[in-house]
Amino acid sequence: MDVLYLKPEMPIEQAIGLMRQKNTTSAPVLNDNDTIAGILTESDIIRMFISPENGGKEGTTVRDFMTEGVMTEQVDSDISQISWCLLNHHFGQVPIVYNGRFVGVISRKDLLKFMMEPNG
Amino acid sequence: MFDIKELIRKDVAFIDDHCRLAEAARLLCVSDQLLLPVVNECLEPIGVVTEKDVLGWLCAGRDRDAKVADCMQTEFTTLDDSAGLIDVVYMFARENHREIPVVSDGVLAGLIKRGNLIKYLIDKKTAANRGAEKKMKCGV
Repeated sequence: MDVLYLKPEMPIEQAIGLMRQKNTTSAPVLNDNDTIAGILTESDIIRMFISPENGGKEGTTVRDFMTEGVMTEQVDSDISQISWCLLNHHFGQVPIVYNGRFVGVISRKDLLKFMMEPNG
Repeated sequence: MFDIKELIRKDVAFIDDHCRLAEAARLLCVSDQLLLPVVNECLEPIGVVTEKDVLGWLCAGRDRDAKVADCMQTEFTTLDDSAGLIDVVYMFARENHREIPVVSDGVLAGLIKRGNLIKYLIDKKTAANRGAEKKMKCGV
């Protein structure tokens, strides 16, 4: 899978490093069975820095700051449904699942590129 | 000592409000920016157009030949190039911005990306931790 994903128990510093390497503003967090546990966004990371009780504490993991209850879409979802999701939520990308397991993401930029194709 | 200039990316794509929306979409697709500052002939920001603005316009089936002026946001946030670190952090934290245009004397000076702010904060924290470790080793 060529998409960045994180694990809940991953140290937050490692997660931030991976997100920077991939130049992504958010990354899905997966359980061991590839179901989605949450999403870690740059907002969550900024929140960590300004959080007086947890800001950068040793042993902080992705689980401590990820956003749970993430909206997902199915691999066979209609493009209009995915558009609605990307336009009505503040996440810049939506995780795509098949049988409940993560298979990839579609970002606003992906959708914009698709829309700008001649038949998009 | 914080200097906002360390965070500003100067080489940014921007656009004129008379340009076609398709050009804004093209620029957004080829750059890693999530928004384009919209400037007047004096390079003063007069708005921003985001991926979300363009997508919303296209997904609603509206005119693809529209101008940037038709779908840009005219109420938008900028940071001055004299802003302090606290102002910058709270601007990103409070209003959930991902990118904020920076102005110098009212003229577009660049863009700050939230990711670059995070890198700056981590680098500072790492440097502070190293300094503390060094002091402990020296028994200060």
